[in-house]
Order: sequence, then C-alpha cells, then structure tokens
Amino acid sequence: MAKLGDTCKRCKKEPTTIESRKDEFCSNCFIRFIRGKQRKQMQDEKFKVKFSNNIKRPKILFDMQNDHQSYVLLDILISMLEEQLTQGPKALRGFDLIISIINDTYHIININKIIEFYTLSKIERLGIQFKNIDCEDYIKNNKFQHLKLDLPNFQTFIISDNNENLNSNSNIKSYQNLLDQISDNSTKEDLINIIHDDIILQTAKDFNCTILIKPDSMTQIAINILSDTIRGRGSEIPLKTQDIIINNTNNSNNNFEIIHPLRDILNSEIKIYSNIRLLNNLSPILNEINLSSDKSNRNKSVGEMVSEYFKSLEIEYPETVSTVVKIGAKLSNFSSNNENEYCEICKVSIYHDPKQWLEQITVPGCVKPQSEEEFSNLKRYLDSINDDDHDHDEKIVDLSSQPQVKLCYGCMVTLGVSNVTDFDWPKRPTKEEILSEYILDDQEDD
Amino acid sequence: MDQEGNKRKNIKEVKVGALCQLCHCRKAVMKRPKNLQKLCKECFFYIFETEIHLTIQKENLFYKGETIAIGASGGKDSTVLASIMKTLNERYNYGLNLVLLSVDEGIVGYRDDSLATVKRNQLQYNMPLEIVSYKDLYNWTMDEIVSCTNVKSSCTYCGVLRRQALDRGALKLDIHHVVTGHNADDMAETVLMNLLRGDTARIENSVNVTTNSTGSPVKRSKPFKYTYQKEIVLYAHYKKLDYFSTECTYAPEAFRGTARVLLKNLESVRPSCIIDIIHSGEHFKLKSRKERIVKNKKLQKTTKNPESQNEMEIRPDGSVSISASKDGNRCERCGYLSMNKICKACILLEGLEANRPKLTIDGITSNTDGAAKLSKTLEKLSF
Amino acid sequence: MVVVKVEFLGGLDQTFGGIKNTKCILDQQQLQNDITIANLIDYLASNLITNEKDLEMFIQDGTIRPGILVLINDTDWELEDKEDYILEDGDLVSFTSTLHGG
Repeated sequence: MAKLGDTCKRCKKEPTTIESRKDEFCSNCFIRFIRGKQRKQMQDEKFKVKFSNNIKRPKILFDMQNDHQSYVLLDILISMLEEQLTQGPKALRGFDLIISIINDTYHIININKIIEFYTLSKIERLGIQFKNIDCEDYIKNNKFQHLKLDLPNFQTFIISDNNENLNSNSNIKSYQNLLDQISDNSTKEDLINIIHDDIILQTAKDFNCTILIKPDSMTQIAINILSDTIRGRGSEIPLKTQDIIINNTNNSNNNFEIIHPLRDILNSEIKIYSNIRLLNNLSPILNEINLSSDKSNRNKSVGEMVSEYFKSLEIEYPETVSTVVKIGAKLSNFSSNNENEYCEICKVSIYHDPKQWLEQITVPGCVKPQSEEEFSNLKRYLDSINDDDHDHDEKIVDLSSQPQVKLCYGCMVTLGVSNVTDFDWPKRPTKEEILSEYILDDQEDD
Repeated sequence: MDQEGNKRKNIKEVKVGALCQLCHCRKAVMKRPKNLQKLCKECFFYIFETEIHLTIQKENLFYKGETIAIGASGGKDSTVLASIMKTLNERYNYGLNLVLLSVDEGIVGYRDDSLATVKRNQLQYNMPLEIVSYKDLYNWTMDEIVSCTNVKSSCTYCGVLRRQALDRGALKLDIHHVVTGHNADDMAETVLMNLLRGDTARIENSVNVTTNSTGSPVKRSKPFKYTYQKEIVLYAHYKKLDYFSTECTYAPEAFRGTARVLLKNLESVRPSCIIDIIHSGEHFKLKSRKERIVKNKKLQKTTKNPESQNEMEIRPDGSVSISASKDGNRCERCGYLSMNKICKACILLEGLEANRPKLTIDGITSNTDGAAKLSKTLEKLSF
Repeated sequence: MVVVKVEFLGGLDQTFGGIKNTKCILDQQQLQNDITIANLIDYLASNLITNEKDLEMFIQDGTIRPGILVLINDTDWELEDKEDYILEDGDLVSFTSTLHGG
C-alpha cells in the first residue's frame, strides 16, 4: 500500500503529498490530474488549438462566481489557453474566453486582483476579457409587473399591466428592493439563482457566445440535484445540471451549449488545487473555513443545509456525491403537453399544472358551527373582516377581472413559504426567446 | 360567584385571530405543515380523513367486497391506518373486509411488546388478526440474523424479508391487497434515498400509491402517501389511539439515518418540503436505455448491452441492491414470485446460512435474548 | 413560581429515564421575568436527562429537536409563540416524538 511521502508513481520523481480518491499524488501530478479531468470535458475539436485565423474560434462565456470552484476553473482555463500557445510558432488560442462577473451585493469579485495575479500581459496575450455585469442594470433594463398571489386557491394575477409607465409604478428601484420582498432565506436563494441564470443567458446572447461554461464541481452538481428535488423542482434537474445543447434549427454552427468542465471534480479536490496554486488570496471568501456551519439550522437555506449534508458524508460515504451526479445524468426532460405555458417567475415550461396537483392533495371544506358559542365566534369573525373591508376599501382589487398567469410548482411553493401575496417581478422573455431561433432539444437527437 | 363566572368566560372567549382558518368558529389547535393553515380539532379530523378518502377515490384503490390486509406493526402509522380504514369503510360504504396482518420479525424486547398493541387493536377495531413470523417462514429470527451479520445492514435484510412475509401472510388468508402505513415523510425519505444511492430501478416509481409488480398476486397501497407524520401523530394523540412507540432495538441503518436527519432539519425551516420532494419524485423520468448508452459511451460504437444478469451489488453504505432482469418468474428455491431466478430473500438467506457454522465456531449462540443487546454493545464499543 | 404538568410521549419517555409524565415546579427568583417554555426546556434538559448522550434526542441548536411535537394544553405550540409562551399554573405541556417507529 502506497503512503504519503513515497515517490509519486506518476512522475517517479517527487514525493507524494496529496491523497485523493484512494490515490497519492505529488502536487504537480495532482494539478495535472485535475486539469486532465477538465480537458476531458473540453476535448471537442472546437476547443482545440487553432493554427489559422480562418478557422472559427468559438466565443465562450464563463459564468464566474465568487467561490472556490470558479477561481480554480479560471486557473485551469488559463492554463489550457497557455498550453495551446506553446504548440508551435503559429499556434493560436482555441477559443475566445469572456469572463462574466455578476456583481450583486453577495458576490464581490476583485478583477484587478485577478489580473495582477496572472499579470496583465498574460491576460492580454490569451485574449481573455472580463465583463462586469451590474445587477442594477438588470433592474433598470427590465419592465416590472405586479403579481398578486392568491395562495389558498393557487392562483396568480397580474395587476396594472399597462405597458406604459410600468417602472414608475413599481416599488422596485434596486436589486436589493427586489430581494427585500422576501424574508425567507431559501426563497431568497431560489430567486437569486433564477435572476442569475437569467442575466447570464442574456449576457451570453449580448456577447454572441455560443458556449456557456458553468463552474459547478461534481459536489456542487450533487448539491444542486438534491436542492432542486427538495424545492419541488425535480423535473428541472436535467436542464440545470446536465450538459445541454440548444439546437439552432437554421444553422447548426449556431447551436448554444452549456457545459460543466468541473463535473468530475470534488470540492475537496478544488480546495487542494486552490491551495497548491496559491489562489486563496484572490478572494477573502476562499480563506473562510466554515461559512454557514456556525449558523443555527433555523437560519440556513435549503442550499446551505444540503451542502453541509454532503460535507458531513465526505468521510464515511465518499461515493455519494458521484452516485447522485450519475443518477442525475440519467434523468430525462419531462415531456410537456402544453409547450406554450411558462412560469411567470422562472420561465421554466409548465408540464403539469401545479394548481391541479395541489388541489388533489388538499381538501376544501370544514365542519360547520354547531354550538351557540361557535356561532357567536363565527359572527365575531365575520364582523372583523367586514370592519377590515371598510378600513382598506381602496386596496381591495377585484381579482376576478385581472389576467391570470401560471407559476410552476417550485415558484408557487417558494413564494408560498414566504407568505408572499404581492410581488414585483421583471417581465422577462423565456429562455427560448432570449436565445431566439434556438429550439430546445436533447443532445443525442440522431 | 356570577361575576367570577363571567370573568372566566371572558378570558375564555377565543380571540378572532386564534380561530380555525376553515370554520372560523372554533379555536385552532394545530398548524398544518402542508400549507401552514391553522385548524381546530374538528376541522382537522374532517380534513385529515377526507384527504385520505380522496386519495383512495382518485387512485381507485379498492373495489366493493374486496378483502384488505392492513399491515399492522402496532406503531403509530399502522394504528392510525387501521382506525382510518375502519372509519372510512363505514362512512363511505367501501364494503371492504378488513384484516390486520402483522409480521413477527423475532426481535426480543421490541416486536413482542408491539404485537401486544396489535392484539389490543384487534379487539378495539373488531378485526381479525393474522401474525406471520420470520422464524416460521425462514427459520431465522431477526435477532439471529443480526448476530450473524453486520448490524449496519440489518434494515436491508429486514426490509426484504418483511415484504415477502407480508405477501405470504396475505396469500395464506387468500388476500391480494395489502395496505401499509407509509406516510409522506417516508415517501420523501425514499425519494432522497433513491437519489443518494443512485437507485435507477426505483427512481421513477417509488412514489406511486399502488405498486403491483407484473404478475404479483399481492398488490400494495399506501393511502397515507400525502399524509404528514406530524398529522398522523396528532390524529392519534387527539383520538387517543392506542399505539406503541419504542424504536426498534436495532438502530436504523446509519446512512438512511443521515437522510432522515437532513429531512427533519429541512422540514423545520420549510415544512412543505415533504410534499415538494414527493412532487419532484413524481416527475423523475429516466432517459431511455438507448439515450443513456449513447451518453455513457460517447466515443464507442453503440452496441446493445446484454441484459444484466442476476447480480448482487453491495453499496458503499453497506446496503444491498439486487438488480432485476425479468418479470413474473418464480424463485427456484422457494417458489415465491421473483424477477430473478432466485428471489431476494433466498439470496440473503443463502448468504446467512454460509455464516451460521462460522458463528458457532466462534462460540456465539444466537437463541438468547442477548443477541440484540450483544450487537448493540458491540456497536457502542466500536465507537 | 409556576407548576406545570409535563408529558413525554411517542417513545420520548426513553430519553427521560422512562418517565412518561411529571410535575415541574419552576422557580426563577433571580429573574422577574415570566417563565416561558424556553425556561421549561432548559429545566428538563438539565434536570431530567441523566445521560449526556440522550440530550441530542431532545435538544438541537438550543431548542427542541425537529420531529418532536410540542403541545401546550393540547394546542400545537406553533400557534402559541413556541419558546416564548408564558407558562401558567396547571398548564399541560406534552412532548411527542414523531421519529419513533411507524
């Protein structure tokens, strides 16, 4: 049995210092091993080194976030481009890398620090561009609509949807305003994800990128699979965690693709990589050890609880992460009967009316009053709501005349647990509309 | 005196905000985890019973004159199930003959006490009771099995054996439909476990109310599929039902335990997560076999995989999965309906038999009540 | 000083050395404040649980472990301010485990 300190069996030179997947590595070989995992995910011809400017170079958008996996993936992508330029005097980089950084209040990425770390000349030589996306622009550039949720009846209405002056009526002036409508941490997390995905897709479109790179590691994909299951979004798992191609029916060179190059790499390996490559100074977040475990469970979001759950399994059940990712990869898109119905919040297509589903498992009706006391209680109740009506006369809107919109099950639940009744949300095109002319399809159509 | 009485009455008058959100006339006593509604006892009983009735109706679970075996363990779920089945059968004229069916796994200090509860239920609900035991069926008690295997996998053994025992017990009484007390929390846990174990064989159908393997003579249903554990416990509490509530001597398999803790923690911040998970589970669909092969072997030429043979896979968590190949066969050993040449129970028992002589050499006898205790002690020691 | 009745049901009695019901006398001389369920929980945890290992069967994150149902005079404590409910003489507080075998 090999042990740490033995000569590395890969390079046969250095002593091993790292243990992962029941194997021992020296640091150089470990870095190579991790990069190899990413190269395998991006081994397609289109990513390879080019020797002529006549050969089309794909434009890739990297959805960089302020987390370990993103800094590691950035480092790996830079190493890949560098490697390509060493393959001869005429070698040109294989793809154009655009790094999108969405600056909300939660994720602050210091681009200057990154450029300083890799040096400006290298960043320029590799043709890497950084794009700062401001969440406030998202708020400014979108029209808002006011939704009224009738949760007991599982219905949602649009109020004041007269396209004129929409924003002047809206209470939403900033990204923070948008999130402040919600108090529940899990709901907030859910909505942040929705907005993030929306912005990133729009950005990909704006910069004419045909490939979107997500930073998710194997551990993160497992977390996403379990979290979406818990949020009632089980049917969205294939779309959100698998590598997908959105086919362009007119021109197959214009297919849009979403890939996860770190899908074979564990979070523990990400940390080791980041330590060896000294990436930890790039962001304070990389030095924090336990971000949420000192919080009480009551203040944790679904995502935080699931991510801690996987952390707790790491030692005794290390296979679980890959098991979950494997079964997630076997799940198929739910075929939809009503192709044209989309959730007003997250824009996922609605395949099974959640109202119908919920009504089947919750019964209406009650036991009528019987005793004198019960009748008098009921009377007091009726009096009290009549009083209320007088107090808030102008606020009562007759919902029945308002147009109804659909919400998917996940959004209905996520707003329901936060007890949201009034909600301002941007009026957004669907994913399909953003990537217009593209039709969603499975990768293995032939 | 009079003044005092009035005063008390005033204090007792329920605040409007504390009234039931359905009838608005009685004080709310509970909050539904499903939708956070506050209900009074009467409305809770009504809603609880009616929702189960609707599930039964929607799924067309029973036909008039059908004889149904209620899997009864004496625990809260099956005790409430027996009570509810009796109530609904009478209220809505299902026309069912109800029978209690219990399995005696042979766990001293646990099952013998819970069987006493079932025997009381038999009188309380006026239903016939049949008890089948592992010892009679398999010549092994659970205590003996545990003394012979790793305690970690005892739940796996017990699960496989109990399932077959219920079927055999039902067939003995010529009953072809067993209802069990699996509730929404159990279903949600199953959905999570299927993901965590990568159980492709179960991922699509584990949340069905009724499972009926092709050609199987016994159908199984779970009328409590959408019923929260919390509501079952409250129902039992308010109705003062007589149930037994001691945990099995053998702690649940550790890995399943981790999922259960996660679920309970999630439920405390987001009570709806139980049905949300079931909703997700109902919408899991596997890619076709062809799609999956293409995906897995992108670079190789697609060849059709030969049907997998009987194989027993030991998962990393110590549980056992036996992959399926064909439907409607009978086990070569015991004649029990099985998808494989040899049924799961026989595969497990075969493994056990191989261990039996080794144990006697080691000098451990397994017929004392100490077997469970011994393994527990051993488990603690190894901590 | 407040005297309340306490019940441990659904198998939770095992955590409390087999006690199914008991009377608790809560006396907080140093504090002028009302005595709440939170005080009762602390009292039970420190006085009635003898085995340190059993504590986690009852307490998690400084409050009742998820999966234990708390009823105050047969009413779900979620309708009664939970930990902040002010105890009155003669109140019946029951703790029921929903985690034990189905």
